[in-house]
Amino acid sequence: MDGETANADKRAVWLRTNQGVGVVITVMIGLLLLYLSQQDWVFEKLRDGFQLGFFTIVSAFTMLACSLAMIFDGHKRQSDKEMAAMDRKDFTVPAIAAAVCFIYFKLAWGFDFLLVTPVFLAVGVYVLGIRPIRKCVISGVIITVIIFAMFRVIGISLPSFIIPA
Amino acid sequence: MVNVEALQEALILVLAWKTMMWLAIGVFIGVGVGAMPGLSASTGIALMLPLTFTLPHASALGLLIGLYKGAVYGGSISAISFATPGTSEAAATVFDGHKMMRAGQGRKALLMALYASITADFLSDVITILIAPLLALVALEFGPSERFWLMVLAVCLLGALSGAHLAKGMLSAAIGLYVGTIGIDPISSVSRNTFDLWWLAGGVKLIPLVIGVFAMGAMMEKAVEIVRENERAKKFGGIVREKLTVTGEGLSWKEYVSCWREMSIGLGIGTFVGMLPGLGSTVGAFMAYGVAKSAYPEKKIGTGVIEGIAAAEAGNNATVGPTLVPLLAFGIPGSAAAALIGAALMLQGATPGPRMFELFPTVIYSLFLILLIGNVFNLFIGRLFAFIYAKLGELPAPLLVPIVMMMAVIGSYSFENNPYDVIVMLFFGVMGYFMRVLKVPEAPMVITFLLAPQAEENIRRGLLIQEGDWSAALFNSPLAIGLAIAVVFFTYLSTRLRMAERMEEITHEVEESDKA
Repeated sequence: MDGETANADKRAVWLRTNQGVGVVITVMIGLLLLYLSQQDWVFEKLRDGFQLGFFTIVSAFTMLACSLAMIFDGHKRQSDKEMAAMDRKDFTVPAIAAAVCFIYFKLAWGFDFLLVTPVFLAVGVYVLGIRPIRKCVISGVIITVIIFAMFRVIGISLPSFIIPA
Repeated sequence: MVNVEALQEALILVLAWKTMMWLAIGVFIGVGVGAMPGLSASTGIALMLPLTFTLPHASALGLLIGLYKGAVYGGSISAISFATPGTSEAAATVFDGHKMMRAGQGRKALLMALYASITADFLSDVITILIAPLLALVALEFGPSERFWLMVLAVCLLGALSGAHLAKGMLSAAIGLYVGTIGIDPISSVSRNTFDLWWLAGGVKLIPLVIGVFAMGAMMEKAVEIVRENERAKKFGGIVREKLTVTGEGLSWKEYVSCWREMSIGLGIGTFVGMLPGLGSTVGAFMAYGVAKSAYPEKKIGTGVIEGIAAAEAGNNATVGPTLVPLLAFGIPGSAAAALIGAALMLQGATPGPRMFELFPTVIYSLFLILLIGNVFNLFIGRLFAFIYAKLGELPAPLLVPIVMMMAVIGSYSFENNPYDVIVMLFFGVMGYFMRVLKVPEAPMVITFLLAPQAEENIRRGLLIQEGDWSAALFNSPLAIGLAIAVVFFTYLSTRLRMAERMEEITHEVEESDKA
């Protein structure tokens, strides 16, 4: 059991090196190349002699060459501070942030910017550690009003039923 | 030859109160952005970019160039006040600046940073104004194949010189090239790389891409950092930050003049580094600091003296104007900020490049005038508010993250009122985040993305002229062959000499020697 744990730890450490990252990127580029190989336009030659997929192929193979270089070059064992510290949070926090921003966008533009934004800001600053909650709510409201007014002044109308454009 | 009529028109446009107001707003926001750790000039410009399409060209340029100038200077404020550089280019200012702050000479340090920044910025702008039109004249002689090879050369230099790892720099450039080919081909109307998503048919737009990479990606990184810090604070108690206030006497004229050698070093190095694609202001600051330190050991740079601040700040601000030289002369942005300013020009209908001097002389003159006048605004706003901006570093970072994220959503959507732009922005935000964590530089990606359509257009034009003959289209003149050889030579040289790593080593050496 201890041996298995040690192996898993070794794998986790290796995945955080340039070599580990290079392998992951190579697999992704491999999938991209597979997708490209099934597209007719990639090989289509136009009347001017230009092949439509020329730059796409050049870029995909350059990416492949770079990811292979990451696996084999002199930096392969290197792991920068941020890379070495990578854990689950590096995947969950950006994913949650992206999802929350999208939900915020849907609600603010589907409902009312002036009602949704203070909630988004207050919850955001609270989750990130600002206390007490009163401070979060007040800052959320003030910032929303400032942003709303600022965009109105420069001619960009943010959606609101409370103060229509 | 100076186009007097266009110059007069540009003067009227630039000196209009609205342009002056936007320039002042740009500098005001820029110094704040620079002073706040976690925000960079690129983040600020990316967030402001969607606003510029509602403004006339002079106001748009005033806002962005003012912001850029202000942010490069503003980084020194928190570097001196808290030993936390607001932007990476101000990292070299920490060595002497914060030591002076601790010795009760904070006011003197802040003023030296301001005056050195403005002096070098102004003089490098004059050099830019003299050099860019001359280079543009040369560039006008280039045909499609020469232009194509010049772009390839710029991309190779960018990949090789950005970041410490050549493979990662080139990977970033290749991603940009790939993303640049997404969408319907304008000539054959065939969809490329759309993954059967109809909303990608129009291609990836620049604004959601840059907002995603520079603003959303940076904020996601900050959010992860805050979550980790909160956990550490819970475990080990609160994080205590040394609180210092700006005190001490100001800077005398004699002291300012006594730093002329360090400012000249900063001006020379910064101007040269700024013109080269891929290096940027951080390298300019560290190189100028390192050279000044070894050239004048008697001045004891690194022990908390104004000469160190003068060299570093002149080195970073002297890159601001020259970074626009490759953009204006060849249509090739040399840095992320130049790419964003180039994008703003495109939004205004003026594609950057050598023909811009003929087609849009008013825009060029406006840009030159704004570069110069921006320094006056930077001087006054910096002088009046530097001590207030020094308080910005105390603003809690958690407040910043949701605000910038909200601005990123607004900016990407309001550009074309397209909800899919928000999705694209979020996608590139996540991608930008991982690029930051994995130390893959973002600038080559954005710049190559901008260059991809132009490179394709040039090669196709060459093919049309040469009736489909690839070798004739690529190598139709001695200059094109020379540029192609230069591409191979520089790629080989950068692999052998590991130039970017050496730049990084210089930075580390400077840091280590100062710690010692």
